[in-house]
Amino acid sequence: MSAPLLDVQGLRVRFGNTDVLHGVDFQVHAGERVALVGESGAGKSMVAFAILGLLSAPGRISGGQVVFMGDDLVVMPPKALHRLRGRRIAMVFQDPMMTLNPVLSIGTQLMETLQHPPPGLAKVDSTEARQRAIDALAQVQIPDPQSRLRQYPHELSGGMRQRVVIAMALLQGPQLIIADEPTTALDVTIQADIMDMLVGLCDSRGMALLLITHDLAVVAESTQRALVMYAGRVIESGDTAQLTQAPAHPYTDALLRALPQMAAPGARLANIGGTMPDPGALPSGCAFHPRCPHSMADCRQRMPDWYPSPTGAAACHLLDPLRADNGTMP
Amino acid sequence: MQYGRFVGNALRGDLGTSYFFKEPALDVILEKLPATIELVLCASVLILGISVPCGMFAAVRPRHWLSRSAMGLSILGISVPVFLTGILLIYLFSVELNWLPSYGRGLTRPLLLGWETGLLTADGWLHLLLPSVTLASIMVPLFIRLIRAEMLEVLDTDFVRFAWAKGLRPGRIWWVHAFRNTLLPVITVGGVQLGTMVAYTILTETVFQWPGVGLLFLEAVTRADTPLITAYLLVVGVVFVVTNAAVDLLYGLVNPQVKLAQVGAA
Repeated sequence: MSAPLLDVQGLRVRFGNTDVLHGVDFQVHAGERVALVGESGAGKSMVAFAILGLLSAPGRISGGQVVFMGDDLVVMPPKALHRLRGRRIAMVFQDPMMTLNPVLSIGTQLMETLQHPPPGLAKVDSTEARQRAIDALAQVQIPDPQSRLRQYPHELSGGMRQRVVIAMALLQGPQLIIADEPTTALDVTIQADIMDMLVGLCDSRGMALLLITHDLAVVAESTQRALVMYAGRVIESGDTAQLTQAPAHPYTDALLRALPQMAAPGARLANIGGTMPDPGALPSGCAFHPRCPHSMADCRQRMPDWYPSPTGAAACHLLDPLRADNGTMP
Repeated sequence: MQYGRFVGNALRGDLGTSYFFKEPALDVILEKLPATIELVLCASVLILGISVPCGMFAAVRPRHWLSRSAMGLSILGISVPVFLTGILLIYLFSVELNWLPSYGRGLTRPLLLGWETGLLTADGWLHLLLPSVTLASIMVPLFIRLIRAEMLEVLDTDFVRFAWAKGLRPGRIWWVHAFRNTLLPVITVGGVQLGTMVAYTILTETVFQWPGVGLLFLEAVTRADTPLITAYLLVVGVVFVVTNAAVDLLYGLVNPQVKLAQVGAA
């Protein structure tokens, strides 16, 4: 297999004195769509911002590598990293109400990425920038793109704004798009439209997608591989189709059971008791053990290793083939 | 009854006759007004010219030693009263170094409609320098702090982060994305402060014997020249209203949401 487009190895992020990512490993290959799944607070967005070097103030990368197209972004000079942003790796943020600048027109915000690059990169003249902006808006299925250029963000609906944000991400032909909960802030009726469009665009342009979400239903429909995160660690990874059918890790299983689509009509939805632990006060051993229905003595004492599972691999003591009482999950 | 007569006369442009000058009070004020306007204008340019770059820098590089010292100095600047700044400046530049004149407007030339300006002669500029620095000194620290605080807030927003993720030139992110949004609250506060500055002209003009309306007002108070005092307050009131209206219009230019609301209402 060829070298991955993005190879994250042992990525650790620290906020002040608290570790929030404890060594995250995963790869994204060219043109591949990978999901990063987990509850709020699992550290999913942290991974995205760490890749782009855009962690906000007290946060910093305290270890690991982010190798993108052969270069480690963690040790890359800030100016060189900034030249990759938008050009090689683009990002779509969660809330389109907040991502667009309220005082600049859509056209200005689209064209400026071409017209005002960092020093050392070629500028595009305004006629061509305008044409490319119109093309990008047309690609995200915005009607009448020419007249949209003059509009301001507050004149557009949430779905339209997210389409504009995606157009901005596409504009410079990146190899990888990181989408951080791109449909969470939107109306349910348009979530599927936006996801379908994003997947279609990635396919037709051969772009890789790192989709960050808590919604396993979205994952199942739009990605090939999925990684499940809990408390700053990846705890299961594998093929999306299999992982969403037969998860190996109790946490993934619990996430799936919490989906409304999985419940029988009229039945109560299963929920996961308790909440994600505070990053400053993680439980001993496996961080999920206080909420896990299969918790054993081992789980409290030591961190589980990674074991192969039918769907890929997972970090859970239940999968240890050497366990005496090794039972499969009920 | 008397007030009714006063309002009636005022509406016809007659604010009474100054007891001291034996001339219509309004004419006396209008004759002195250009000096004050030039002083305020020059001070405003200084305020913007100093506080915008300083405030921006302090927000973009909060840990830089220059930012820290600017913040420290600004506390000092806010605490020192205007008349003390003025007297210290006179002592240093006029008495000790003998570089700059300490009082008056210097040479003035007629501009138009009886507007005597000091901006056309080198002597006039030299005279303008110390008073406008003094007047600016009280506002500059305030604006540096205001711009820094607003800018820090804007730099933390999603749209600025998104601008970084788009890979824009950093100058574009700071000056266009962040600064344009910082401007909105700064314009609002600036409008109010412009009015406050008129009050400070009374102090500044007194220290430098600047022949503007502020000095005139203080003299009128000591002479109990009631018509002149009334006329001054009325003119300052008008200036207040006009500047605030101008500020509101400016706000509409910067913020597209305001512009649209007006079009929608019409």
